[in-house]
Amino acid sequence: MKLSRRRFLTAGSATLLLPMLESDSRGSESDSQFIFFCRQANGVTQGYQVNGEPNRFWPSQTGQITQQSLNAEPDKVLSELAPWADKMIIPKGIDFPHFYASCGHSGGGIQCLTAAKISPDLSANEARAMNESVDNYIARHFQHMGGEPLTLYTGIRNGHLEEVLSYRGPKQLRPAEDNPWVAYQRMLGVSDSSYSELVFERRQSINDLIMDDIRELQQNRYFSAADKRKLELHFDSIREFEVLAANLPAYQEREMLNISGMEPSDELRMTIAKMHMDLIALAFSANYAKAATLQIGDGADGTRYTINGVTHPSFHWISHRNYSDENDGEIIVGAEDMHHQIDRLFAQTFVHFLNRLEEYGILDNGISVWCNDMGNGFTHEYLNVPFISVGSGNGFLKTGQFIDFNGVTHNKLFNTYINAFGIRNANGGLIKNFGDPDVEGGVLDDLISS
Amino acid sequence: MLIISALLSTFISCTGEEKDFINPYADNEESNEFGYNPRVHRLTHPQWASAVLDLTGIDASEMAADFQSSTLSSGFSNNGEVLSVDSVLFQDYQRAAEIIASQVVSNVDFYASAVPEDPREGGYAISYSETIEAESPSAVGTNGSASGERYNLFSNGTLSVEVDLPSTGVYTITTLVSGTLCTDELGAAMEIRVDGESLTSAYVTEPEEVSVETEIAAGAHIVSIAFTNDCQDPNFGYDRNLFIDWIDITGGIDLGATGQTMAGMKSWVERVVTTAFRRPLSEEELDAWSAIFQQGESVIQTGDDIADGVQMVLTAVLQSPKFLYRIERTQPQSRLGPYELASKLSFQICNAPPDEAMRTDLENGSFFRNYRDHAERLLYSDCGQETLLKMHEELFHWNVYTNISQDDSDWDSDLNSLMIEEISRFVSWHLFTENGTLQEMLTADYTIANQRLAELYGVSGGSEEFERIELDPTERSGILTLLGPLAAKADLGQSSPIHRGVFINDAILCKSLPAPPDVIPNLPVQDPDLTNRERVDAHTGVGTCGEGCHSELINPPGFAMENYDELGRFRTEDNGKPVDASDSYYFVLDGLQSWETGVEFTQIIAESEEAHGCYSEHLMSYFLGRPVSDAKSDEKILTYMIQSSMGSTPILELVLQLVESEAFQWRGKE
Repeated sequence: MKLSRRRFLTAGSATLLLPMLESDSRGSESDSQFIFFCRQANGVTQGYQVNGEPNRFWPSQTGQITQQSLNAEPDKVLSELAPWADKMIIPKGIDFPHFYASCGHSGGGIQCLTAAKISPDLSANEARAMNESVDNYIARHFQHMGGEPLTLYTGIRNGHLEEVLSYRGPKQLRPAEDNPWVAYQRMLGVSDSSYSELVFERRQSINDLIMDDIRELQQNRYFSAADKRKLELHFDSIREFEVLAANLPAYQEREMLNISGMEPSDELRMTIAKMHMDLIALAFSANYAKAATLQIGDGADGTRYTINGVTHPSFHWISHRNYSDENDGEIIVGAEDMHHQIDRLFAQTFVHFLNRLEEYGILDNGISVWCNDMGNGFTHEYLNVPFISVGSGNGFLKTGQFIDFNGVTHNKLFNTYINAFGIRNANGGLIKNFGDPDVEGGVLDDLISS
Repeated sequence: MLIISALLSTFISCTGEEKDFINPYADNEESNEFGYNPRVHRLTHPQWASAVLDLTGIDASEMAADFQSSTLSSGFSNNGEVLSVDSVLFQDYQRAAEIIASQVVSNVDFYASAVPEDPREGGYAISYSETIEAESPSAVGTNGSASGERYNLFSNGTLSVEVDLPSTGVYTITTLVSGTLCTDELGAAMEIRVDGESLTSAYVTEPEEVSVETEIAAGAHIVSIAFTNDCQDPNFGYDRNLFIDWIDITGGIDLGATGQTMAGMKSWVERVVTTAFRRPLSEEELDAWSAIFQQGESVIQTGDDIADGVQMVLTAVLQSPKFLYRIERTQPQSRLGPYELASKLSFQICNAPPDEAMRTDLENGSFFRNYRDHAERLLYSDCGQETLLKMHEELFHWNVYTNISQDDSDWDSDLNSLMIEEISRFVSWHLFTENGTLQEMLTADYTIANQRLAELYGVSGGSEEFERIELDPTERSGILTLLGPLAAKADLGQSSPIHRGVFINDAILCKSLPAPPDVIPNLPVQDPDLTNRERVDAHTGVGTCGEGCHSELINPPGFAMENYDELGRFRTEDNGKPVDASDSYYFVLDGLQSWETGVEFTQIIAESEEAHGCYSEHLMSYFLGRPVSDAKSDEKILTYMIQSSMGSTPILELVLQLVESEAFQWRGKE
């Protein structure tokens, strides 16, 4: 039996039905409710004139997109997302601001969600972003999860460019969780060894009760500011352990538990990615988290993806089109097509997430982004980096369009996302300055609905 | 200290005509300015444990001792100004509440004590039963494999299953096992383990059921069957294995059948929540808590709805802020309401919620009338004694006596606890047997010691038991000349006049000293031709960089104690030269006072207004549970207590004066 988070209170009396007095920092219901970034590595097959590779990613025509228009180009990866065309934004011409000679993957991962300068470290593995990431920026403006974004990962761990996306601040790379079961347990507020749905429900109900009692006490007009602060600390300390207010279906829990502790092999990559997505969708639906990232594959994703029963070489090798992490191996015959198939696999995996959001009925309440930390894998460059988004953020974004911005830096895209959450500067104006302060700020006006 | 010095300047000496009681209501209009006076006092951990005991009958003091420790303020650990609940303590409370509530419903005796409204008789309510086939995927084996419908452990190892028990209770674990023989003709040695702990063992050959009954806490556990005597002798065809057929776990709450109904339990809910909140409930609160009781059925689900409700209410109420804090809602410039005042009196004196006698008076409306009687009763009870001992422990820091260590033939680590026991017994005797005054505490010529300690005082006789021992009044005078305070403030092999001087300034005279400089040069190595005093004086005295604080404030009281060595033994010589304990010290009101010996110094202190003011302020701070402020009501009772103390009023009476004061009973202007 499942208890809703507030069931306890509705069973109670007027005293317990006092409002939570939630501050603005919980967010307004009319703003975007969540943002999700799903990162693919190694760029996409968007064409490369030098070796004659065709564009197999972007639609042919900019302007309005519809299910029909996307379906009309089945050779393009984005046709996979056709059912969401009217909720989608396809922005082309989005570039990262900084070139990084040492390692394209390192520089790409660093800038992907930060739009930051790269620290002047020569070692690719040690280079870091010089400002926080956008998921962090958005999460810390709200009290969900203590202002932390949900940061998940599935990929090998070999000590080199593992998780690369989420930054708390300059050079403060946030560790990501690999194991969906552990992430789930943490969200439920139970440890692995004592998991019990009933214990969880009991704690949740009681925490609600305590928090409401504290709010009631704080209304006492005789209490001094010091007494109220004391109670606020108590309140915050409970909120810190505030747990996910919903459960996954039992079969999903079992699946997660079954693979928990297993080596995250290449065969499990997308299975685990989908479990992470299930968790993130659940967390958004329960208003538990505001921002989440999922990085699929390590920094330079070397996963051997299996598509239609065929196991391909390392994705990173494929992106280089030869059997090497550099450019000095034997040519992989059909590499471009393999890359294209992998792009489709990612699109299909992203669809898994969109389906979950639709099941919860919240797809348009937030923004879900399938992004990359490179534009074209073959050249490892930072031009035309895909940031395919679905969802208008509760109407803030003008969706259903494919726009070529012809070379704007992606900080402007992030500023646009941030404003969808109702976050404004001290004067009440739009946020325009996320990311590297030395890069021109601003928003992408064309993406904001009038 | 500001307050004392400000006060002393307006001090009016005691006429002896004043009654032993100040009227808290007199002059109210002029004296209603209070300093910060918290309305929300988090219970200290001992108070929490007492409140749990009162509510459930369960002694949770060990649990409380493991809680996140509290910060000290005003030198004491019970300061409501700083006590709060952060995320660590929140988790401590949560865990404790769950364990305690679970204990109540899983133990017939606890249940009977906590829930007399629901008497249970006999019966055995099974709430959990699970049989796991050994060869199923739910059972994980090491060194074995499934063998038909059994699991074969062919080498030493375990077959484990994970169980998630809904409640703490008594469970029976049974397994059907068999074994093969080896050269020693013994069967297979097996054990039943829970979370790795072996509960029973047996040798088995023919299939048999082995079982064990044990109490297990709610939550996830690993139940294992272990095989421990693997043996092979291929020449004779021996290969000993353990075969496991199934594992069964059955049990749970053993309360017996209930005759109660959900509706009938409302009276329990009301009683228990009222007790927890230490005040009557509003109707809304009673309805809400009745709803919480009913919630137990769906979130605990043992099948025993009444017990589930009990567990749910207890788990919740033990985490409620209305339980965890002593709350004062009384409007400003009013006397605390009877329930709030009863809680304050009881917690501050006894570290416990109001007892039955107080509750009865509260219900009858006669609490205010009998206030003084309750205060006296509590103060003289065991808990009152404990509280006063705790206050003096924190004032004299005697918990650190456990760290004393000396390289001396008279020394061994038994003395750590003996010295603590001595000072603790001394204070207890002085307060409760002698009904003593502060002056006597500072000048007493006796201690409470056993033979071992008596020897260090140079007193022959005594026994293994602690008893009152008369001391030479020319050598000893009061608590400052007991072994513990002296030995605790000593260096290795030598007394420490600096540490002793700082302690006396700080704890006895409330003289605030500036923080020592960041870089303090070490004392020079002891010169064989100098006394310790000469060494310290050369390093910190007049003409040195330490002159400011040391020569006038720190060193004189420290030097006064030079008649006592590092173990507190009396001495007249140091390094073969006569001890010089003489010095002088500037008292704010009495001016410069000089002495020749430590005994004389203690007598000067005992008569100084500073010492009486300082001690009164400590009493106030401790029993008010907040720092003393410069509000008029605080000043008024402080002045009165100083007068009384100097007029030889016993310490316990000072406490009673305090709890009868306006500063204790009223809220001021806010």
